[in-house]
Amino acid sequence: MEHTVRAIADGKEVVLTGRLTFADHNGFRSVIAMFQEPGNKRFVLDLSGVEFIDSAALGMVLLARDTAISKGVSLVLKGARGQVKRIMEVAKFNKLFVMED
Amino acid sequence: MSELPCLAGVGVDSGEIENIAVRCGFRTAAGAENADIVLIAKPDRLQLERLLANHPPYALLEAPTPAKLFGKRFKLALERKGLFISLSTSAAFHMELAGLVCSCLGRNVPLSQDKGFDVETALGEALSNAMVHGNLDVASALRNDPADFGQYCDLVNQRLATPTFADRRIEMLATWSAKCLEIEVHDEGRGFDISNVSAIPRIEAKCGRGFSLIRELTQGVTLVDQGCGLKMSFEP
Repeated sequence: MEHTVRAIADGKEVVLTGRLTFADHNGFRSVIAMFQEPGNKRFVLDLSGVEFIDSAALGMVLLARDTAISKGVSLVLKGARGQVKRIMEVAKFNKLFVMED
Repeated sequence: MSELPCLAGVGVDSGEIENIAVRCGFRTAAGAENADIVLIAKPDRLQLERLLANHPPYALLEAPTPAKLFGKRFKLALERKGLFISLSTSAAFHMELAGLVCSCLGRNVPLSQDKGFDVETALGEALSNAMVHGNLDVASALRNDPADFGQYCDLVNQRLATPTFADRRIEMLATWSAKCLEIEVHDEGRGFDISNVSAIPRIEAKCGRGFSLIRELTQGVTLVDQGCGLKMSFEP
């Protein structure tokens, strides 16, 4: 997994690319640390460049959600497609996240 | 196999290849591209990708290769012209093995795009369980709370740098026919206890989804070897 960050109104957009798996714990640690920085109201995780996700990475996205909730920040998942969309449907992520195309 | 299987090495001393060939009754091949069995020292993702672009090889083994590697699963791969891979956990961890194996399977087994996703997802779950919980012996409970996540990351990194954990093998055997694709994943950990798996994970659960996903995406799943092995079957 690679990630890049850009500023958006009220917060940040994190663009994730490649494969999101159990092997990306260190990358997720930095993403989650970013959620703890003060001064953000809104985070967007752009998943349009993600080709594959596993359950460990789904868990890490949920940790990001917990962190966002504890900081009063809203979290949007954007652009899930292919296998990522399929697995997020199986995991019923639409009940937990705002999902944008 | 009517002819003796053909062995080659990548980054492995030719004397060592010769010894193994004599001991096991293999022929030696001039290059990896003509071999049924490839032994590879310190494999990286690109090398594996290149080797898996062709089929055979039926077996890809990270060197050094103790005699027990040439066992039941190795023989099945040769007999059925399947695919057997044995790697250390440290080599396999960052290799995105599920994707590599599924690209290779996709060229040999007719799979729809959705079925391909299912196979890759289920295999990814089996491999990550085997590596993280089996061989590295790290509990997924540490991924439940953002406050513990740093500790989880440190423990995984530390175990990946500790040979007693990092050298443990991960093995994958895939065999197929027109009607069925079977994949086994084996580790050298303490064994997975299925009684800890809840039937339906909570929507917000950060861990414990892997096995449920496997059950959902496969046509059959069995634990073997006291929970150190998982056999999955798929109907293409």
